[in-house]
Amino acid sequence: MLTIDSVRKAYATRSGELEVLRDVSLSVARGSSVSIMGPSGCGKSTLLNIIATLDEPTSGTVTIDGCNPFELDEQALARFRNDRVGFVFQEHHLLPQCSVLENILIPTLAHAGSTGTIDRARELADRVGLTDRLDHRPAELSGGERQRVAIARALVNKPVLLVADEPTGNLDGKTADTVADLLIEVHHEVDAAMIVVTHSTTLAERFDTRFKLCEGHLTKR
Amino acid sequence: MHRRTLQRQSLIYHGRTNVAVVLGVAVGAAALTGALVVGDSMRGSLRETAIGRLGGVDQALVSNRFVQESLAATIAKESHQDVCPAIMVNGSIAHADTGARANRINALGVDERFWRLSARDKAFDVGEERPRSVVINQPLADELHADVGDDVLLRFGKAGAISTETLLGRRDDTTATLRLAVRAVIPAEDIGAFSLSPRHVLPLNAYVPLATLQRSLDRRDRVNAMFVACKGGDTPSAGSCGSLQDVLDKNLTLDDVGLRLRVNDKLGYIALESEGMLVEPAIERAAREAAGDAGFDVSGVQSYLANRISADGNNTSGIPFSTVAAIDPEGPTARAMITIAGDKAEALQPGEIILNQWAADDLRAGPGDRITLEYYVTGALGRLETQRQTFMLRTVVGLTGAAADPGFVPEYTGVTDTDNLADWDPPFPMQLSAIRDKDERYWDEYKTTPKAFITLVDGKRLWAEQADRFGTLTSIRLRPTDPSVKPSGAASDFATALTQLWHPSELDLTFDPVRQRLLDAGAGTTDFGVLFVSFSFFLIGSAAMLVALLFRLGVERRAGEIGLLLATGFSPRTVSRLLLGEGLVLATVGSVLGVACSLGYAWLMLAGLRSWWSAAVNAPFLRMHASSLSLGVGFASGVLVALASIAWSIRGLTRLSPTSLLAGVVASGRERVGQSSKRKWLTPTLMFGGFFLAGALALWPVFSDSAPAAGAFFGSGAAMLTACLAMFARRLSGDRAGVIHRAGSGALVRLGMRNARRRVNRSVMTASLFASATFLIAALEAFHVDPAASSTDRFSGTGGFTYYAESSVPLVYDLNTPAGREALNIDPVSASALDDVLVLPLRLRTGDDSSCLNLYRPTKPRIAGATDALIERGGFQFGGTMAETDAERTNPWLLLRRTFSDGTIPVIGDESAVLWQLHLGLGKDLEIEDEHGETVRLRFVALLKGSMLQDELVVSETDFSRLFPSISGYSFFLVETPDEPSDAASFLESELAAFGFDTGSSRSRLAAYLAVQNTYLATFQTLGGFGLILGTIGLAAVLLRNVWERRGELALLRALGFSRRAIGGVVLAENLVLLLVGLAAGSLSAMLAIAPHIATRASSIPWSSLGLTLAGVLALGVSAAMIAVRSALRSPLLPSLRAE
Repeated sequence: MLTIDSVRKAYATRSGELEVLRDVSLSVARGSSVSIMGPSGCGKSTLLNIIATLDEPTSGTVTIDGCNPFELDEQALARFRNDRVGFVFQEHHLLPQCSVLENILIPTLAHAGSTGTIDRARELADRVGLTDRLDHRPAELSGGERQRVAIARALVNKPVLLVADEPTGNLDGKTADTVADLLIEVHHEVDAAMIVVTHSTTLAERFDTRFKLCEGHLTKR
Repeated sequence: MHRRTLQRQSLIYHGRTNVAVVLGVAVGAAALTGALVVGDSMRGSLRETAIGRLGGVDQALVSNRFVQESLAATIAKESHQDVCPAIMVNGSIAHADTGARANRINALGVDERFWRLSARDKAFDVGEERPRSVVINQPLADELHADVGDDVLLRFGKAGAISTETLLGRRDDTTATLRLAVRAVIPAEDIGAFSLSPRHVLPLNAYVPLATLQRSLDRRDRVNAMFVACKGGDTPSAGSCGSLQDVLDKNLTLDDVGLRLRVNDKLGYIALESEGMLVEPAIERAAREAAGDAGFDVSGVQSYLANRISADGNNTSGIPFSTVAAIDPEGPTARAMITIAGDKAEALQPGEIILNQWAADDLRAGPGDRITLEYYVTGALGRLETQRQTFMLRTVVGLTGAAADPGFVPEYTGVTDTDNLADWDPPFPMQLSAIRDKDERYWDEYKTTPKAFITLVDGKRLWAEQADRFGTLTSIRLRPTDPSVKPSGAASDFATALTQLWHPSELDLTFDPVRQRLLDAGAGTTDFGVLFVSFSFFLIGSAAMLVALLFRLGVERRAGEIGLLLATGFSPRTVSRLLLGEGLVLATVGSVLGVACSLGYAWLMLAGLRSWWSAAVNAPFLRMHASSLSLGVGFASGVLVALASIAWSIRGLTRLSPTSLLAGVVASGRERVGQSSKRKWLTPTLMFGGFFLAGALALWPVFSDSAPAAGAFFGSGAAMLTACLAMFARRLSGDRAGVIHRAGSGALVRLGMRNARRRVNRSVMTASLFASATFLIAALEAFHVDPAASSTDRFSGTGGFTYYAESSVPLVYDLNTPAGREALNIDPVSASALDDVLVLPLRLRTGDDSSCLNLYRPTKPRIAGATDALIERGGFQFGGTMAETDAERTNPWLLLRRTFSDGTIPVIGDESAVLWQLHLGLGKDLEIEDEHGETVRLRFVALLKGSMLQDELVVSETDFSRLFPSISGYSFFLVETPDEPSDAASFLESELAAFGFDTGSSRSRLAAYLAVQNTYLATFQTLGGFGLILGTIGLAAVLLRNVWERRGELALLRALGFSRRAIGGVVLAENLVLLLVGLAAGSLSAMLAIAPHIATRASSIPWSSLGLTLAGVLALGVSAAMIAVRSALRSPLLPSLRAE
């Protein structure tokens, strides 16, 4: 359901053009999972941002569910992303002024007619083990708990594509395992395509397909 | 969960930043609303004051005529209104014991009916009325240091019915003095400050018993004023008072207008005569029309006095002091004369004369002989000139019938009522030794019977120099067309017809809706609301900028939140709306708070206007008035301005990529990386275009008089500022920075300057703030005018006149001649004080002050009439003229002699008064009413620049006399002395105390006007200073933000071994660069904008004050920078490193 074809991404700098991604192609089916590894600064997050429609490729095409999102106007693109993509960030980025339940519901506020509902949010909170913490603010949660909230938030609109950028990067070993388990479980439950960028070989090996990004090229491992 | 929930929680969570934003909005809204409230307060206070001084009076009639006092009662009865008769005269008053004096006071002759006009709850305690007593108001009591029981000397003009500028007008008895005891001192409120003119300065009023004043003026049972309090509440319009004017018109009699009918049944005529000796043109017109309607034939008579009648070639001394009558040869009078020798009298032609038999015999003259008349004519300033005219003797008539009629000459006290010729008491010199016995015998038998007759054409030519002003005829003769009708039976018919046909408005007898007029004037000339919004502009702008800045900083700190919302599918527009929604709440709360605080701001401004800014307005009566409209407008404007600022502050933020925002990056890549393609062409365009435009606008006023100075000033300054800041932006965005190496303070400074390039927009904005503040404050400082620097040369604001003077009683003699001084009883010996002194008189129609010191809108401006002497002399500085010839360009005063085909009258006014008080300009017209109630247009042919003549508009004396014919003499004077100070001023005041002669220093007068401008500038600067302080707070916030963003870097420098002092130097250098660039750009722009000003007045630019101001601006900026430095040095090392 996700196809990336010959995607290239370059940035203009004072010293000239800096090419981060070179001729990257990838296909991910619904329900399958992909991990991408690579050294720091190789462009993993850049590729993930493009996949999640947060950034536009310099050239090449991206097709999600048969649609090239970058051909949509701004409003339609935002709607597309809201409906189809769930993103889990390394820094979780919870809104400090909102409770756990409210943070999960944030994506449902973007457009009228979102698929997410408060019941679904409660359900997801329960799924991630935070039923008793619904009214708590992020400052009152541990790092792992915050990341679980972020995972629930990413799933509230039943996305077809779930992307995670270093979801366990800031967590200790045990917590990281817990979060990783949760991620893999819920991915199967929602039958979404999942793409994860990680430094952790252990985590990477838990996914169906593994890729390596090096010097802008994506190769299957 | 709703979006509103998210907004509410965000607002609460980020409360600290939001409180700062709210406070910023509150400041702006308070300043804006407060300024509008100042406007409300000024208008309200002016109205209150003006109307308060009227008591219950709605309409008033004040005339130069004295009508019967009983007319007031008649009008009251028929109109069912309260009508109070009174006398109003100008005068001066002195304490009988101490000599303390007050000039230009209002003396009112009133009785108990006047005190009933008071609108106070408690009536004034004016004590028991005694004939020789006076009630004075508190300001007058303070001026005289007088109290109840003290004696005062009240002096006022005692103008007779005959104008002092005609031959028979008495010039030697024009003042009266009353010694009065002060019986009460009343507060200056309500009718205690009674005034019909809109002027905020408290009047000096003396209330004298009506009968006492009537006696002193020889006007028993006569009044020249009526005040009407309309029944039925506050009804300011004429309609609500009923038709007062109609009732007045209906009840006016000939006696009220100074006319009388003399019936001569024997000779078959009625003579219409005036107590003013000459029948006014308006009366003559009405009389001729009434005569036609009532069945009368009309002919005019003009009587005059010949000093001598002589026959050329005959050895006789001539006949002294004879009346001569100019008649219509075709009229019945001439036809009725019996000819002794020569042709019939009706054959008389211009250039010919008829003598009666007595005169012909005395001169031994016969038809064909040449007869010369010698007579006086009046010149300017009381000068008498002897003129002669020779005629051919056409006819000799017998001393019988129509020719033997003393009725040709109206009654004249001191002449017609004397028994002997030698007892005559005319107001001109008479050589009594020339009177012969036969002359006395003629007088005994024939009294004023004319000895000679000429045509009316000749009479008008010789003796009617001011025909349009006073009229030409001494009587109008009416004969019933039906011979069977006796004149005595038809006189009342004629009188009735005349009263129905004359126009009281032409006779200066109209009711003035004074309450409405003062209400209109109370709107003021300057909208103080708009003025204070302008003054507060910088404060409001700074508040708006602060709001934008603080909101932006707050939003930048929420970059991650915004990135998350975008990442989860919120569109940029939706996110913007969410933020604007928060902004709207903050703007609304801030505006509500601001409106509440605006009353405090307004109170502060009003306190300033009453005290340290009193030189501009002098309004101790100012009280707070706040209209709901102003509060509403202020609130709405506060919300709009704040919302606009907030919208501007978040522009572009939601356009950043979600990933950048999530990473905490809030500047666009283009801004961070270097010059965008857009900036590549925009910046040079702004730079070069700005320099070019700045130069062009600065030079424009130098080459063109039509260039609007204010526009050129602000335009060139703004263009220069833009160019300088564009140049700075270009420099910051460039790539040419070299490698920083070699340890030392130089490297630290360069490192600091390099940091300014990180956030180009923010750096330019910081510099802009100081640049614009510097520009405004520096440029305005240069416009302060130093009154002491005003020279006394002819082409300065004083016109070379050291003093100016005004008299309560007009003078008719020339102060520059020994004869004039003698006529004014000035001791010739001590008059040496007037050697080399030139006193130029001007006629004056008192009215509303047009100067910037008058807060009221002048509805009836003061108008002065300039003599030929002043016009020829020239002087003063002009801001613009309609000169077309070289002579006019050299001396623009000559423009007062220009004639316009549409009848418009040329006038000269001060530029400031014309522009700001009358809201007119060069070439524009002002409509006024002349003495006859006709609307006349005055056209501004020249504008004086920075002159001492702001109070009055100046026309030529000729035009003045046409506009206001009844105003005789001169009341305004410009005095040129060789030295300053001079004894001449005090000498004139002392010698002419009876006339209420009051001198003042021209420099002081000019200084008072210039103080208005300086005070307004000071107000602008003060409020601008508040804005600068606010801007500095914003700047400190920006600088703190800069330091916070770079806390990791600064921690790194410390970890690498940089001393605190070195790090402080880096931060200070960065901020000082912005400060100094802003200061330099602002100063340079200011210098360019005021360059034309500097070129003409280099010595008067207050350079030291300017330098101090700029130093103050720099100090403020450095203090903000030091806050940032302190913050940088206090950050803990390790946490800062970790944050990086």
